[in-house]
Amino acid sequence: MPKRIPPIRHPRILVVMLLVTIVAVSFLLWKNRPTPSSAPFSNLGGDFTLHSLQGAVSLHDFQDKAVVLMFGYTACPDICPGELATVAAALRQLPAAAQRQIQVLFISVDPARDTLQLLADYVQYFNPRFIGLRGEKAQIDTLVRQYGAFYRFVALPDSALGYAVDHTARLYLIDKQGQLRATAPHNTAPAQLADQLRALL
Amino acid sequence: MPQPLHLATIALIGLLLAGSLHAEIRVGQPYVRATPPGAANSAAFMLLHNTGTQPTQLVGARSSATHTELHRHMMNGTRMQMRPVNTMMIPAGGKVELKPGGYHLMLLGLSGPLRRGESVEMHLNFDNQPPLSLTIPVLPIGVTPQQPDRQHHGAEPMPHAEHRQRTMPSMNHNHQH
Repeated sequence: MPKRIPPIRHPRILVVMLLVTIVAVSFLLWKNRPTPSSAPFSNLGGDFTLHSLQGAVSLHDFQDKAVVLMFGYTACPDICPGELATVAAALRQLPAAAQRQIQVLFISVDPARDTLQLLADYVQYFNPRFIGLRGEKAQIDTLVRQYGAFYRFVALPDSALGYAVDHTARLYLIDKQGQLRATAPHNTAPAQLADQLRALL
Repeated sequence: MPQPLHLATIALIGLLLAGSLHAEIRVGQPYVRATPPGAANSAAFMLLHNTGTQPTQLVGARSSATHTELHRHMMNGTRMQMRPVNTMMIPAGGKVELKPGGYHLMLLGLSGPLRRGESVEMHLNFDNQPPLSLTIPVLPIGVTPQQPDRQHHGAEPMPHAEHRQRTMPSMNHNHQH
């Protein structure tokens, strides 16, 4: 009996090790599988409901579309309009069919100054299909947290502006399933952004 | 040998003195950004080049369009911040670029949209230079005078000016409004 044990045990250990290795390698391959499910954003993003001039708008209204979401305010003199102009220019580089599959949402972080009418007029100047969204402060706070963004009011007693709104200046790129896939800096070149938009479709 | 050197020195001093008697600030590629309907504010951008031997500060701006202030955008990571500044320092022989995402002249409380093809009168005040008056064209959003580029020197990146801007103590000067 003691003589027979070693030759039997060794193959068993080898089989177990082989199985463990197979499981581990499979797991690693599965974990690093080449899909664009960008892990950094897996816990960011998600549905929300705000208001446009036309009524309530939710992210899930656009399930057949990719969404470009950005935060801003109309009193912003150059960053926000520059960002909207960049997105509009990037869209123009895509075929008309692709353009129709992308919805741009501009979310005001300045609900006190940005009325629904002002937001609509403002964003449609860049592209008639852009939608401006407004919410109460609590709603915006929740959404900003949800997307890992930031905004705050800063009193400017020496300026006629009264207050500025510091805010995240980047674009949130959301796929047709409503999943946040990527972000892009506000000053991304239109051609580069067009590539990122194509990848969303 | 010393003679031509002396002459050159005298000529140089003469040039510097002559230069100091009139404006040493050159303005390059000024433009005002067109505004979407309803937008209350816009901004003017330009290159301010100090050809003199003394640093100069832009201390105020006035425009025909509306109330105008000196402002600066700063990125803090992905966060955009905008703050008024009292002055913009233009180093001797150096430049300051007013551009989107950086220094700008903020036009506040416009009564109507600024459209491409229109222009804005702008008056700039400096601490040790005569004031300058400019007529600045309104350009569409996203268009800068660098494209198409004819004034080659104006389109070059200016790391020195950038560096000086960052180290400039701009927040605690006396200022005029």
